[in-house]
Amino acid sequence: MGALVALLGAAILGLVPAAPASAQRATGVVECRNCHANRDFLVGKAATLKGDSALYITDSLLHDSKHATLSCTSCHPAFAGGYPHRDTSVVAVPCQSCHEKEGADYARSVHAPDAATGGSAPSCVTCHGAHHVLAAADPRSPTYPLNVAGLCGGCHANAKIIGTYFGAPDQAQARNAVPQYYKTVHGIAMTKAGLVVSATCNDCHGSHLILLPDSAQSTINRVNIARTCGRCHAGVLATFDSSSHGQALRSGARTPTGHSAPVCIDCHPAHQLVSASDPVWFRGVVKECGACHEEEYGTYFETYHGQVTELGFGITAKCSDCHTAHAMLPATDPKSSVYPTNLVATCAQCHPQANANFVKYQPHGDPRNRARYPLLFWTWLFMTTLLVSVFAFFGVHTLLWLGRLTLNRLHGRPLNGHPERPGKEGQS
Amino acid sequence: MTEMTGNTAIARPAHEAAERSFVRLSRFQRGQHLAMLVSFLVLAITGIPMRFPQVHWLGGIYAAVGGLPVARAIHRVAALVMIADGAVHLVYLGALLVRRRFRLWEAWPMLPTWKDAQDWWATSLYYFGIRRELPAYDRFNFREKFDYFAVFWGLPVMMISGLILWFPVFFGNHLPDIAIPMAYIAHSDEAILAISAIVVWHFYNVHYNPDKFPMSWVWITGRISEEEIRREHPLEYERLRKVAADRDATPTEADASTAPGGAAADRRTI
Repeated sequence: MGALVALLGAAILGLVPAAPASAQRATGVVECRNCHANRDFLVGKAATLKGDSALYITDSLLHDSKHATLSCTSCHPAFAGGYPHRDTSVVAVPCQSCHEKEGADYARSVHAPDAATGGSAPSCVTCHGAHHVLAAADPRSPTYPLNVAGLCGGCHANAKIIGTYFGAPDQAQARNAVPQYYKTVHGIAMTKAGLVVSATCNDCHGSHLILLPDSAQSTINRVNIARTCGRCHAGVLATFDSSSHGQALRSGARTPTGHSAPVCIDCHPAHQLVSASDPVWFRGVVKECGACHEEEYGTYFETYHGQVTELGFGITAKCSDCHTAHAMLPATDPKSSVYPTNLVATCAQCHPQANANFVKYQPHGDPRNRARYPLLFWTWLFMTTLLVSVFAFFGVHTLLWLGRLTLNRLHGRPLNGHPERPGKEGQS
Repeated sequence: MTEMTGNTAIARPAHEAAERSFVRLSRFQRGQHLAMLVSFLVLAITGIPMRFPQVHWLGGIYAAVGGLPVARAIHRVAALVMIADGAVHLVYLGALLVRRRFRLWEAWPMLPTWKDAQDWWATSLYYFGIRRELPAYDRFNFREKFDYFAVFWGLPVMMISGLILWFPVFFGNHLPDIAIPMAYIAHSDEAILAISAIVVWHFYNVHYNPDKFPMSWVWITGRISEEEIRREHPLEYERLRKVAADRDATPTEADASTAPGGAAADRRTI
């Protein structure tokens, strides 16, 4: 009974073999489908079963795709002569004959050279499919945002491919990129929250012109990173551009120790991207600031703010709470959050009743710096001297005591030599 | 000598000596010590991770109590207990002073004297083996006075700096800009000083000292045995004997609790 229904269904769908039409006018879908939509006919036509399957192209695949308006021969002009196919050397025309820009970009990408030499790198059809080519906006498309990480992960999370291409010790990031992505805010937003506007692989790395970061045109080159992130984080980009860091990035200025201006990924590592409220992140980002601002980093951890941060509690001021996260400017700039007249507002974020006197507080006061903070220095010196001298007194006295006790014990004398009270009753 | 009223216990016949003891700390004084002990430990435990934030296992203390905000609340409650304890002690000292008609050294036997410096010197000489025995101490020896003044100095320092850190905006709005960083340095360094004073000095006096090990029980019982007081505080012992002898001669005399050294001989027991 079941077999009968299946047969009936197949017949309705036109899958029941029909005699192949004469191949004289094989220029349209209709003609090609006579053979290529006929499974039974295709059996044994290629060398392998897989090859047979590849020849099987149903109508629905094409009619549903972005290429529905094309005929088979648009991509397979060599077969325009119909059946039998005389020239099988050119199976299909290159996609770039239509998709010029994408083709040109792809040709310059890291994928192209490997694909050209028969490597595992993807070509057009690897990502877009051969016949069922869908728009990236189509949820069924492999290039739909929700599917991209899985698509790229097909290779970049494939142990065999990773081992072949990213085996070097310094390529750990490349080996872990996809699994790490799923743990980032972007990945979580995409997979858990289903937020298709969140970033996925191609939003940062590009789709066709995928380049290594050392390439000047790469979207993930340091110089271009802010622009890349700014495509979504437009508000941050504008702020960053006007900040000291943005200015230094444009001017190419470097710190005396040779550091260039920080860009997005220095504080927000792309593949370890965690929420800014996570202790792992804010502790790391303070360290990142300290990579250049060494003195401020050191003195910060001398203060209450720094010590609470060090303990892993985010309840107190970190670099960005006073200096802002993206709009940092020198204290001499009237637009700076730490410009004298802006300090009350800045401190009041945490200390609401703060007044002009309060904000004279030195958040980077260094007791070792006598020239800049003399009172702090003397307080520190007094306390240290007190500590050391009391310790010395304690220590020496206690050690002497201990020494005497030991000697008394060795000589069998009373441990503590309290005076005998002559003429007193009882022992002592 | 056969006429016995409370505090004349010291005048008892010799064969009873071993059973006698004296009140060294009154119930009230022990209460002050207990409040100090508990609040000190709580303050030290909840404070020390802040002093050494880079020592991560210490941070586990905060995790254990439910985070920094909880630890901070506990720290402040303990601080209030300690401040109250200090205030009570000051009032107590004032009352003693009035009762002793403003004879300062009688009212406050903890006050250092020239003899303490001499005792320290003599003790040191004994440790070096130059003197044959320890000097005769009075009710409180120089070590105990040192202990006491470590707290007496430390508590106001910790209280003032601690309050500045507790209410940074209130104080920061009115005090010079350096006040908060100064308070921070003072608070953390004094804390180290206090903790080491307790662990090294005080613990050595009342725990590790082989005469006391594992612990002097005075802080619980308030009592010191006759043997111990005669051995360690011979001058006080002599004085008490004399007071008791005078008392026996003239029983209407003021009781021995007014003798130098505060609540000295016990008039309630023995």
